[in-house]
Order: sequence, then structure tokens, then C-alpha cells
Amino acid sequence: MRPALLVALAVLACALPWVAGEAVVNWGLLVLLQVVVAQSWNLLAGYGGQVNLGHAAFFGIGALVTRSLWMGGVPVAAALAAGAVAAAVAGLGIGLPSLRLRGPYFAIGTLAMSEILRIVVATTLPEVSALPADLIAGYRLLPRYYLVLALAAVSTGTVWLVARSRFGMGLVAIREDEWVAETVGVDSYRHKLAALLVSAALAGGAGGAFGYYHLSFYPQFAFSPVWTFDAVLMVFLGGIGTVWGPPIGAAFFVLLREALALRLTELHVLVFGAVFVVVVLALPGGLVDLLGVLRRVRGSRPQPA
Amino acid sequence: MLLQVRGLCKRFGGVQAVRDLDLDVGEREIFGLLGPNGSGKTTVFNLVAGVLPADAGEIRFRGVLLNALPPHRRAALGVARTFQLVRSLARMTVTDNVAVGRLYGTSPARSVDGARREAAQLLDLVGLADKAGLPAGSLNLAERRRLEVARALATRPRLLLLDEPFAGLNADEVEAEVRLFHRLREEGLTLILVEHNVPAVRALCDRVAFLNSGEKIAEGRPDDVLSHPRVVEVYLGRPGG
Repeated sequence: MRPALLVALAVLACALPWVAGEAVVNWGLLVLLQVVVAQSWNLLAGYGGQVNLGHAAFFGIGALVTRSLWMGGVPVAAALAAGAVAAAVAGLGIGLPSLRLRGPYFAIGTLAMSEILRIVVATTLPEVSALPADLIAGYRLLPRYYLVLALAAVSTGTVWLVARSRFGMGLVAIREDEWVAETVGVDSYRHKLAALLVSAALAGGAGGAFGYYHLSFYPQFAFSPVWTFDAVLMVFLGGIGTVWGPPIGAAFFVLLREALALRLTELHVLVFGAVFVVVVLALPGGLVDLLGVLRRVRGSRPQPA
Repeated sequence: MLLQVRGLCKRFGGVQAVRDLDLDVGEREIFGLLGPNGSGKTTVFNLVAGVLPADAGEIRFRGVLLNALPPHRRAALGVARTFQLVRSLARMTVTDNVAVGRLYGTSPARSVDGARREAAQLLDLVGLADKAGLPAGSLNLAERRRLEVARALATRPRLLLLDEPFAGLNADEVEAEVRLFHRLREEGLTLILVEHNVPAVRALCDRVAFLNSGEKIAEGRPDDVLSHPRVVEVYLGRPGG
């Protein structure tokens, strides 16, 4: 991404609350929240090659821990950090047994664990958590927007750093061929676990921001697989295993969903399914690769005589 | 002795694949493991490489017991290997395939850029410099074999295990590989190869061991072993009459 474009986007993102109304800022916050979830999933799947279908568990744990602590009087920064750490600890609990599993078994195992967690939460906790009056009175959108913006920057920055680091090279080698990676000295179990912990912490941070953002909050919803699968869709749409794919995919996804849901209500899910199939088949590199694909197609067309 | 194997045993269910095997390979030797299919030579290879755990026996590399160590720890000690069916990191560039080796292994490079620079030198050595920026998946078989060698060398090993390095190569390519391996030995490397290609083995190996049904039945210089009566019998069958 060209530096000038990056700076322009950063300025726009920071200035958004001053140039647009509350509805747009809310929309922007939701896009940025999805960026964090998407980037965290992208780290483990796109770079590490491990498909975690239980990603929502980290989001949910972050949401639950952060909101509970914050409602109990803990300052939100500390509550958010605690949420991220709790999610990372959960990552350890999930990762230690399941990372020994190859391929599809890891995906199935993580999905199962996440669903178990969701059902436990749904049956043990009250269905909705509403804020007490003093927290409602003190509610401001702006700090929440900047919090999520900061998380989006941190998560994208993390992926960018990993991508150009020794650790990232080791991860990608594991993704391409785990045996080969082991052969050249990469401790694949440790690498995958580290990627899982960072992925979990970032998703937990996103969940914490979500818990902090919503006035009324349904704990069960934070564990819903929709958080995982929306992230998967966004990452593939934008470009899996790239730094800028997830943000582009997130913006595209949220935009398209807002545009379609109003007109098609439930049918918009069908459109998304179709878009997903088309992207995976025709544009496997995602939207970030669109320019490259167009260039290649143009280059291969016969020139007029 | 760089590699010492004593009493190595491995069974798979009802089959004793390797039976009480002893091997000694000295520094800068080029050592061959020969035998018909099912003789256990590939199993021995995999036991030394760390792919399979031994049932009994010891594998010592520079005096260090390798038995419980996973492949990535053996790589850190200086044992590198190539694969019989060539494996590349297909979507990474040729340079990065080698650079990964430079970042892990016995004496890792200090930075990713440094690793890529050193990878470029290794690509020169194996004659792949002109393919540096291409995805590894776009190379042909002979090129991918050389890439595997460069990747193995990137870890700065003392011992290089080669699993049928000449399979699928034509005569010219075999000759080029033999020259490359001789050069690697001159630079201080020790090589152990599993191979069927007899002319290549004669041209390359200082010593060979011939295995049959998990046991070593002959050991020594290639010409001596290949003319050993039991070896001839196993490879070609009993003489008629």
C-alpha cells in the first residue's frame, strides 16, 4: 500500500467524527471492529495455515471479561487488557491439545470447543446484560470509536510486523509444508501456538471493545459462530495471507451488507454465499489482487492488428 | 566419527524393518545406503532424520544422542535432509525457500534481509540464481531438487542426508549433481545417500552399506560391495545352472 494512500486513510479515520454524523461514526466503528477480528483470524490462517473455526470463543471471552470488570468498576483500559489476556489463556487451553491435530481436525476441534463455550454461556448467564444508570449517563461514542480505531491499527500493524519477521517466515513455511519447515529447524508446534495466542489476544481485545460499546449486550451473541464466519468471509474476500486484504474485505463486506440487507433482508446471505464462491474460484488472491489480475488478463489479450 | 549408529531396530507391526544395525560415518565421507525395495534403507534414513522413533539402539551425531530429538532439533545440531519426492514451499519465492533455512538451523542469520542475501549466494552455488524471484512451484523437477539442496545447505549442516537425489534425472543432470556433491564434500560436508542409481553411486560414494531385509550384508567400497556374491544374488537373483 502506497504510503500516501495510507496516510490519507489514517487521517480520514481519525477525523471521521469531526466530518460525519453519529450514524456514520457508528458504521465506521463496526467496520473497524470487524477489521480487528478479521486480522486476528488472518494471522493464524493466512500466515500460519491453521484454520481456526472457533475464533468466536476468543471474541466472546474478551467481551465477557471486559464488560464484567468494567461494570464492576475497573477502568476500561485495564478491563480490556484483562479481556485480551483471558482470551489468550483460553487460546492456550484450546491450542495445547488441538494444535497436535492435523488439518481438518484442528478446524473441527476448535469449532466444537467454541460451540460448547457458547452453549455453556447461554445456559448459565442471564440472557441480556444492561448497563447501570451511571454508566449509561456517562456513555460517549467518541472514545469507543477511537479505541476500536487503535485496535484496528494495532492488529494491522501486528500482521505487518509478523509478515516481515523471522517468525513470519517460519509461519509461512509451516503453512506451505510443515514437514519441510521442521526439517530446516522450525519448531512448528511452538510457532503455531504463538500465532494462536496473538490471534486470540487480538480477538479478545475486539470482543472487549464490543462489550464496552454495546449498551445492552447479549452474552451468548458474542460467542456466536457468525463472528468467526464473517471474519473468514472478509479475509478471503480481501485477500488471505496479506496485510491489507482483511481491512479491504471488512469494508467491502460491511458496505455490501448494509446495502443489501435493507432491500433483500434474509436473502442477502445468499448473495454473500455466491460472492464468496466467485471470489474463491475467480479471484483467489482476493480484492487486493484485483489490479494484478486485471493487468494479467489485459496482458494476455491479443493486440488488435 | 560424525555419525555412529549402534544396534538400531525398528519394526512396523509384524515386519522387522531394521534389525540390529551398526553404522559409522566419518567426517567428509560420502556414504551410500543401498538395497532393494523393502530392505530398510529408507527406514534407516528416516530414523536418522528424526521422522520415525527407533525401537532400540542409539544414533549419535558428534557424540550427541539423537534418539529423542524431533527433526527441528536435529536441524539445529547440523543434520539436514532432502526428500525423495521433492518438497518445496511452493508459494514462497525461490529465494525465500532458502532464506527460511538461513533463519533457522545451526547458525541463523541475524535478519530477514541478511538471510535473503546469503540465500542468493547459495542459489548461485546450485545454479538457480536466475530463478530467484519466482515462486518455487514454477520450477521443474531438476531445479526443485537443486533448490532442496540449497535449502538444506542454508541451515549450515555438518551432515546432509539425501533421499534418492538422482531419481528422475537424466544423465546430464546426474553428472551435474555428482559434481555438486563432490564440491560440497570439499567444503567440509558429510553426505549420506539412499540411492538406486548404481553408476551415480560408483561415481560418488567413498563407502556403501548394502541392506537386505533390515540387515547389513556388505559394507565397503562401492565396487567391492557391488561385486560381493550375496549382493549380486539379492540384486540380480541366483545365477542359473
